[in-house]
Amino acid sequence: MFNLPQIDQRTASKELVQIAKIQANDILTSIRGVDYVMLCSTDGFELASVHKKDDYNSAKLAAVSSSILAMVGAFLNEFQLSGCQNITFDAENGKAILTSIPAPHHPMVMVTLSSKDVLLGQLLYSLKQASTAIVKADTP
Amino acid sequence: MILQQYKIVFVGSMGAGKTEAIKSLSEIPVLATEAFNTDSKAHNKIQTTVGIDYGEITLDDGAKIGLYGTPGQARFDFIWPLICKGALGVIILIDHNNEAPLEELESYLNTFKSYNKNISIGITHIDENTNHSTTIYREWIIKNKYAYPLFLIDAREKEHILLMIESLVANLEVNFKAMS
Repeated sequence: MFNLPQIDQRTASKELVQIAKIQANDILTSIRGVDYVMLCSTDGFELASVHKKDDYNSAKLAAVSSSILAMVGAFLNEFQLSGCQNITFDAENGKAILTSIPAPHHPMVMVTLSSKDVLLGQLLYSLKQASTAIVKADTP
Repeated sequence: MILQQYKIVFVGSMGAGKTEAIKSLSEIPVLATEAFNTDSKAHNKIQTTVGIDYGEITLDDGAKIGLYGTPGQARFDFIWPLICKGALGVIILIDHNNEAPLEELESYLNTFKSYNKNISIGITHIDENTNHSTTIYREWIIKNKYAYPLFLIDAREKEHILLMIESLVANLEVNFKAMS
């Protein structure tokens, strides 16, 4: 799904995580209904999170999210669809969105949990903007 | 011929060669779910499995076996019982280069024997670590009075992995005959 980084520094720098966290916080504060935004590495480690509700096991959520995104990416590849950008789960009592952030050196996953009545179009647009900003920050 | 269903699961330590073993055997392009590995302390490899790997092989008697690979890291333990459901058997691969390979083996065995009783153990990367003797595994099995098949293998060698699969199938047939 991602191009592999050829660098010594495998974990994202504090600066990059801070930029990503600011993006996550913008989504949390500007979109009504968003309760929780977490950033994790594509191999399942939590990097940062911001929240209004915090009833979740972030470490476990990071592992499950990275796993789901990888499996859905593999599933789509079977149909010659590549570059899965996001996955939306529409549950009875809320929504969960996994967003791929294909940063060239430090690919990430953004996990967003929201209420059922969130304006989905607005949220997806903001997630796309955030993803683009993080990718840009990770591009030399 | 007792086999109609067909699923063998590869588990074990990070970097032991689970994905490689499936790639070496599979007749179809392997569906791999690998991500960039940021945990270089745990293992220095560039990519690591985070979901399910999948391949297929047809045995001589025509039985088609699905080969399922799991992530080795404990943070992905939520996926282990799901993958093991309905499996014919489990292959545990342990990297001989680990600092404490016996503890790793014991940990995986204790976890996976609750999901499946038919287990075969493979020790990999045996040529890269001469500090540990490979006899420790046999001694450990004898000491614990286990009867699991134990193999010292190269995960890239199709014949080695096939032998492990055959050991699982043979064990199933023995148990089936014993019951009937």
